[in-house]
Amino acid sequence: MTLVPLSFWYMKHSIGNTFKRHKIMFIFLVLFVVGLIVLSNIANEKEKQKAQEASESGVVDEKKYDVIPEFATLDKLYDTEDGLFIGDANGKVHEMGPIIIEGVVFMIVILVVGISFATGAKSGANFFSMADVNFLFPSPHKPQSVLAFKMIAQVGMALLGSLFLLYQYPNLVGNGLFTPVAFIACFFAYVGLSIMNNVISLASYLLFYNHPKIRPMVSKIVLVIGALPILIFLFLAFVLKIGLYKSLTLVCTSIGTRLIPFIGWMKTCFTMLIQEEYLLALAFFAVSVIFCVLLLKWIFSKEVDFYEDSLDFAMVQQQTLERMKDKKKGLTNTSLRSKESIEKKSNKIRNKMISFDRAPGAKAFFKKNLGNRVRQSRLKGLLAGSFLFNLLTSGILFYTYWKVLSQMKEETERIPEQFYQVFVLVVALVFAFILYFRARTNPLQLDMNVNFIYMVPETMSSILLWSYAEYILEGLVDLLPVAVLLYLVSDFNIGLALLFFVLLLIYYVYTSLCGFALNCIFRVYIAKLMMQILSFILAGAPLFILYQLRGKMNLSKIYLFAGFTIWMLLALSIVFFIVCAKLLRRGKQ
Amino acid sequence: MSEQDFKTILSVENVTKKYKNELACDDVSFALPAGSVTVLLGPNGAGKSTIMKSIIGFLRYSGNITVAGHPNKSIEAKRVLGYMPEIPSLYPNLTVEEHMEFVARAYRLENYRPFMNELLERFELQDKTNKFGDELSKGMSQKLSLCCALLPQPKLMLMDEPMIGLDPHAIKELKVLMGEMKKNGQTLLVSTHIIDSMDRLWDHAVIMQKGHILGNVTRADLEAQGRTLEDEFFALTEGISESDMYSLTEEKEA
Repeated sequence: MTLVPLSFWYMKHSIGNTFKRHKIMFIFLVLFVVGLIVLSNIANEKEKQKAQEASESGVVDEKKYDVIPEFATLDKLYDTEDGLFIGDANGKVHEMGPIIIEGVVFMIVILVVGISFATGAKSGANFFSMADVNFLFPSPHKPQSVLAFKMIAQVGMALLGSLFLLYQYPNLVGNGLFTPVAFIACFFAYVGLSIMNNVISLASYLLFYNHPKIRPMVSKIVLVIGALPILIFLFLAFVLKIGLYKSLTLVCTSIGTRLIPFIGWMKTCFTMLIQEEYLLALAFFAVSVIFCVLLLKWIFSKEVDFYEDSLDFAMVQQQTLERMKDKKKGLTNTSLRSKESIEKKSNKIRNKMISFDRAPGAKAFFKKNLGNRVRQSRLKGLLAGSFLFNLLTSGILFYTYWKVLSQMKEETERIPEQFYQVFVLVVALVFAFILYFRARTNPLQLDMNVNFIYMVPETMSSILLWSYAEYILEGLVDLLPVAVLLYLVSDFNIGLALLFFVLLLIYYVYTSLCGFALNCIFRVYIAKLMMQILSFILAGAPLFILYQLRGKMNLSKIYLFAGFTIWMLLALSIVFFIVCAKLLRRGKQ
Repeated sequence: MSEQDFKTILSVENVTKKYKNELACDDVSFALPAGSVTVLLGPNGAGKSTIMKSIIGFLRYSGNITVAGHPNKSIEAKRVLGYMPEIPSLYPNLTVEEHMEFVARAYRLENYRPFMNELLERFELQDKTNKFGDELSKGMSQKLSLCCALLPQPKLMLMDEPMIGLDPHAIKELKVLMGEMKKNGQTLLVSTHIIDSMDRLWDHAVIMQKGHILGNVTRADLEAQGRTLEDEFFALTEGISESDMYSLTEEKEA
């Protein structure tokens, strides 16, 4: 552990310099968070005042209780003034909140640990930069010391990165979901999980690095294990029909799940923190810490030669950074891919040539991106991996819809129209979330890597249009399973399904244009976190506007709601298109 | 036994490195006498960088490499070794001076400041000590990378394409410095494909192609035969001598 003091020295200088260099950015961020906290407190005070006035005058604020009245026909769910309740087979009523919280926390912990484990096996040695490779690897220290250096630096960065959680303070504490103590406790629990993320990833790498045949299978095994709680729940609730309450408690809150090493302990620790059961939380936290310490001990006792793997990843990362430094910005999405996988993919696609016949000028970008899509496709033609993913997600959503519908049909004679509308909304929301992430890698951002984009003798609007034409085409193809799903869950209402399909497609273009504009404006690498926040705000802006107009745009007027959203997104997309074209023109100059 | 007792400071024995199915180095063996300047020559893809990375301990390989009698991945060997990479990479949020301090701390150097200042001055970086890693041009980064590699004053210095990206003044300074290092008894292994760049400095030359060693020659041997390093290189890699090559070009032109 001879490099530990150097690690602290490095953190002190690196973090200190980052603050010094980006003073304005940090001041803006602090002001933004503080402003949000103040505004949220003012808004909450007003809400409380209104609620008090309403209760004094005897008027009930119905808005708060009409969220899912139709779903109460699942008969064991009760939506009351005191919260959501669930009835079991014996007719007893239980509060839903704690079960849902524990279930959600369980899924989050599984997700974090699962992803860490899977990525660790695949690329666990990827946290060294090329500078680390050049300066530290040849230095006279054991590989374990080099590992400790980086682990400490990573933990420091995780702590710093966790500060952004404070941004959630107004939401969680201001709205009364968490007490301030519970929030602080959760903040530290999050920090702990971030640290464990690194530890688990590394442990997984050390476990599998010498087993090249097993390594590619780890992520698939993790995926199956991760999906197990959902599958078990669906099996218990819909196949064995033991009741919703029993299924939920068995999967989410049973003692068995609490004893699962680390995942169960962390889940219980988080849940107890939220429920302010601090003693129990502390006990589970202590067990998790012991586990972490033992894992670290094991990691540092292993004499593993990880330098070559780290070098491979650092080289790929370096190339990406070089591109960004040269202002040929763009997301290459290769930082986590290994050299082997890139070579494998290159060999696979090399044989399929792109023909540029009848594609002069800006149309060449359309043809190039189309050709790329075809040669990288896992199936035939335009049917790529994203299509398969949407197909799978649609399948899962349809299965859930079908099961809920059959249960409702058993219980009621007439299914209310609102049921289908809510499902259409759920599908739209799920895919909007997926599209938000998908939109971060649009073809134009890759085109920005090459200088000849500026040499094409056509207007920037034309280049932008042709590049996006292919992107829209991709979206159309990828969303085909979603279109079918929308048609099915809307009770074969083609108008409604089409409306929401168009809505999703425009949202796809809108989020991509937002991201592209932000990338053009904030080219500096350090603004990554800031950019993520801004992109999230821009992507969520239409939803915020709709929320503000919720009085006028309720579910009974769903056509109006969807139509208005399309109009709004279209208008915003056109604005962003003009902004992007201007930015590109400026780049050309 | 101290490092000075070894006449052969680096010994590479039967080193083979495979990337998947591609053989980057095949049964490579050579040795470096202490205090010599050895140039590792070869066309692109010859395996020069692979062997350099294997010596410094970055890669897994089959075979045996020892530095001053110690396995190359041991701490004892690393105390003797220094490495200047082909592509310089710096920490974006550390300044030029902080980079030097970082290396000094990593190698636990004492009283390093006079030598640090000397290096910065020689490579014209003294007025850029407060510049950050990501603010430096490629040439400046290369110079800083070189200064960082030289700071611990290693007994055996590996330099991977050290002249690339340097301005004429820095190249001149580096050559002078190499000469000084040689005088001080330090050993240099320089990988390059620009033969002229090491013209006056080299003592030994290892010529590689397609992962194999084609020749291991000394300056004395070649001079005795009246041949240049360039002659030897083309004779081994392309089967023709330099003079043949010129006459071929003249024939083509005619």
